[in-house]
Amino acid sequence: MNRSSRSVARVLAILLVVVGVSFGAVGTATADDDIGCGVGTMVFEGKSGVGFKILGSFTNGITFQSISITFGLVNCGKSDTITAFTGANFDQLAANMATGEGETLAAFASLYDVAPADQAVFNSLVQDNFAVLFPSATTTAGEMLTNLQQLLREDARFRVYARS
Amino acid sequence: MLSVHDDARASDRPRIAIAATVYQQELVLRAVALDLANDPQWQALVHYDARLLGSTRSQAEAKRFFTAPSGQTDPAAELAATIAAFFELLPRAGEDDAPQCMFVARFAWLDAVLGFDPERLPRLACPNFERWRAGIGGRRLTLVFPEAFISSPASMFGHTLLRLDDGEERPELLGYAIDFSGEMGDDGVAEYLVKGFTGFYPGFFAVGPWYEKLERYADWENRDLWEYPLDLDPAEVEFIVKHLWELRGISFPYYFLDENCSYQLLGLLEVARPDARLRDEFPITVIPVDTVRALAAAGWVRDARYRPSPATKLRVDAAALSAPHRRLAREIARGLVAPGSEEVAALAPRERAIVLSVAYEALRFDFLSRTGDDAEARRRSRSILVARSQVGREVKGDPLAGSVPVPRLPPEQGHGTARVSLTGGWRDGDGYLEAGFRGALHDFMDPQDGHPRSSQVQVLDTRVRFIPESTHVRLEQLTVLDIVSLPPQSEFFRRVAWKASTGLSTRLVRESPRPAHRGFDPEPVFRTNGGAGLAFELGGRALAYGFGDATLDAGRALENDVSFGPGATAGVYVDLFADVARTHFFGGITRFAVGDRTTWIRGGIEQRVSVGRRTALQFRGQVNRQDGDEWYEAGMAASFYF
Repeated sequence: MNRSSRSVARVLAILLVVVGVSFGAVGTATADDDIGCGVGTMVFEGKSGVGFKILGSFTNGITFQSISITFGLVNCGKSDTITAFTGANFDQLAANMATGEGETLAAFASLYDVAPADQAVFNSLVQDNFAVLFPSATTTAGEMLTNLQQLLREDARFRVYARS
Repeated sequence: MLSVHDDARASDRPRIAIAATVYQQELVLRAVALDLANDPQWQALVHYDARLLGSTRSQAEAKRFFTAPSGQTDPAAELAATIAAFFELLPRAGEDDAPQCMFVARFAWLDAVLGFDPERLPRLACPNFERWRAGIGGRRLTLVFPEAFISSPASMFGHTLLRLDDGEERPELLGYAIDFSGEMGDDGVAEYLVKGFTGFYPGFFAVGPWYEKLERYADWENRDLWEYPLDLDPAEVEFIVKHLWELRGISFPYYFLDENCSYQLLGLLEVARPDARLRDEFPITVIPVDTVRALAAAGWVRDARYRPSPATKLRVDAAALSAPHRRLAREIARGLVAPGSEEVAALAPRERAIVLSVAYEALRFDFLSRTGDDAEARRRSRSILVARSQVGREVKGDPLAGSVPVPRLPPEQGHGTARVSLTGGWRDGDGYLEAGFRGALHDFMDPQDGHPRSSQVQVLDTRVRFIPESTHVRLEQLTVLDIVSLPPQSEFFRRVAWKASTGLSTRLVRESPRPAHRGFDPEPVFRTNGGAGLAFELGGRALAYGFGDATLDAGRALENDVSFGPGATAGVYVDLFADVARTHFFGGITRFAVGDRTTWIRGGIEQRVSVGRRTALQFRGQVNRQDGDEWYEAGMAASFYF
């Protein structure tokens, strides 16, 4: 190899190392792979229902990002971000949807890029269809999102927000 | 055989290295001429400790934070080596990024001051940093203060962290939390206290989704949050974020008392304004709320926003209901009444919405207080929410939005953490003068505004008494730690009140018959007391409590050097004229049954009147009965908070 291809090879090797050793979840990266994402399905295994979470420890010793600054969610595609947010805020989101208003619902809507002008109608839509979005006591975050997709697709005004 | 790495380096060197070395030396010379090594900005970026007299030492522990071998103790060597490192085109062994892309804030500052020539010092692309930077955004920083949480030693004095927001477009909930905390692993409380005090734990800066922190502090720990948008311009925030990248994986020693979360957070903020020297105000200990005060005094803080925890919201929302509606909400939460029942349907729409919302809040709160999954709770919560969603046809929006009134004072405007008091009084016939100093933090007789309503934490409460009649000076009290939690009981909150205290105290001991003596002598004992009980709020102006407890005294003046026994205390705090005056009626009995045996019954009254924000006057009177004899004490005190 000549000098410059050696340098290129080295740079590529380093990039591969960066991709492989990313902070946070490894391995289940989604098709639109961003380095370090992998939140996708892993987070919500075993959690179901209008969720109640297991209590965590009470000391400040629990650092959420144990060693260092996260690559994690920063590099996720939109779908994974929505899934992660929904799973982590499931009961707050459900409560907001039932009320038709709230901070979690507003943040959720912004993840769907709902335009400000459509916000109020979006809120009403999810409130009116709450039982459809959460058909049972064991509905998971993923299932709720699928139901929401269906709901959006069926609505002429909100079809544009439906994600594939 | 040389590795690929060395081979490439060696062959590159003749062409590039010489020119680089010359320019590098030029830059270093200019840096020396400008004395940049001693510039507050450089000192802040490398976290050189400004508090140690004489020698300089960086608080960062990780070797990779320094480009020079002696970088931890030599700012000039570190500066020269950093400039040299910028010429390196590739990452060092074990690193993902070249030094230019690791030390982005140092590069930005040195570039601004020295004006790097891009022809002679190539500017590298830093894809890892850029991707991270684009992902977390960052135009505004907010200081967040979760109020004190006395159930955990780490949180007893509050906590501070930052939230990074990206302007108006991105909702707060999608922001990122920045904080500094110690890696404590699975250590228990005792180990935590020892290691935390001695700096044994490593601490790291961490960045994570804000909503995770919010859920933890607000939902799981039931802490109200205060948020203070920081008055920094976007360029300053940008610089702080760049520095945060430099701190990735760099450990600092975590000292519970001083170099703790709040201290290091100030250190992070200081890189934006190194002349602010915020940490100079904290020579010994750093209590989180005091760092908020320091930032407010320095003009960094614009205003305070209050975010009540779900527990606070439940308390307020439940109290606002009429008694029948409150009962109904409770029964819905407990599954005794179905959300779709006639009783609920008979309510007016707005009432129905409110009752169902409170029922859900109660159910969720109750469940979060317990561990484990509960299929029944999930089923019940869904049916409540379905019913609530159906009311949406008649009631638009949330009638309970913004229902919690903002407390009169934010935490940084509450009374100061330290207290000095002067008391004149009289006990068992002897007059006395007493000087007291309490290191931290708050008790039920201090002004209440700006502090948590139902807890008391005192650290190092020291009192020295002078008795003129005998010209005797004695250490009356040295409380190491005293904690009391009085969560008011209600239909929705069934929590146990508890207390624990330990420290040096004074006990009146009956001496063996000495003809000239009155009967009791004050003697020092090491007293430990703990108890559990209940507390009740009466009419919103009074807090009543009752405890069963146990007291263990140890001291040479006691028979068998020890005295131990059960007891009970009860009392009520009554507030008058908002926070201006508070009265405390109390009584107690302790039956010391082991060791030095005696029964001590007491009762009395305490009164506090606030004079302005920093001063209070207190009166205390107490009647005591022990071994069939009585003694009385009374005193008037003036307290100053700072």
